[in-house]
Amino acid sequence: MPLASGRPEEVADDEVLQRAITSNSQIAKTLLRPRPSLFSPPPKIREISVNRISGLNEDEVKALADQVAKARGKASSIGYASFTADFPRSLGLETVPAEPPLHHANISGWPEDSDPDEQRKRELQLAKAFCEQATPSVVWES
Amino acid sequence: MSSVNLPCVLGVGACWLTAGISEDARSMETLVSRFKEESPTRSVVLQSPVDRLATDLAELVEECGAENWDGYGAAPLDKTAVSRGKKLLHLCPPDLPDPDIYAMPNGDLALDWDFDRRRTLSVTIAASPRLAWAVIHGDEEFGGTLSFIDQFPERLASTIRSLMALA
Repeated sequence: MPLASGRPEEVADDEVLQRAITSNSQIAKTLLRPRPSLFSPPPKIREISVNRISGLNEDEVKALADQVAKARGKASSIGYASFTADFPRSLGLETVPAEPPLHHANISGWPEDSDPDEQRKRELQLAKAFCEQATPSVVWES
Repeated sequence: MSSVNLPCVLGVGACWLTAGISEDARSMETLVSRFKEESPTRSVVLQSPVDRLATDLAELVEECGAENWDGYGAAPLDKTAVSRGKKLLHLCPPDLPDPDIYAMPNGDLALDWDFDRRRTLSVTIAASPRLAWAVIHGDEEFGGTLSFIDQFPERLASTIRSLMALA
């Protein structure tokens, strides 16, 4: 049964996922490359929030990124990085639809290790792999 | 040929110095005077790399020092991590380029040496004595943790140099 957005409950490998950029600390603007901070889960949530943007036009994509930023107390998004859903899957992570809001999903399954240094290392390596895969980023003109 | 128009600072008696100067010099004097009038309090500060990094770090603490700075639930930038990061930057060998400095959602301070898409090294600094690092070097991806107490880790320096060598 499709979700409220009309998207299927299963996220297909070729679906494009958007991670909204909400802080200057998440992107090297001169290179238009996301930094690992964009793809590291927060300590208490252990998921990263994404939008499914396949089939949406540029305005709709921007509106979704801005919606993410506004829901999190920011005036607007700075831009976004995108990748296809097969990528997190290849790293052993899972993309789970989580509507509402429309088109929203979470990437979960981040490593947990009893050694905090080991966990930091694994998270950094995963985040770095995302950065390599997700470039180039889109940054809105301010 | 242009001459230099010495300003008439010695009083009326010395104003003969401005007599007989070229048009170019008069134009320059006018430009300098206008700049002084329009920008009486503006100064240009040339920062050393260490000062610039200190400024970047101060701005980062300002932006990422509070809970949820990214809106996604990030922890505030850890003060001990910042202090250790300053120490690491201070010990950075002078032949290495300046890194980009940013914050991680877990409160770590992070440094990137980013040469191109497949030649990049990231380090995260926490309160613990170990640094986490990750490298993309051509087809290789590697990393780990390194002890950092009083010296810039040699493994880190040599890896950054090898990434630079391919630039």
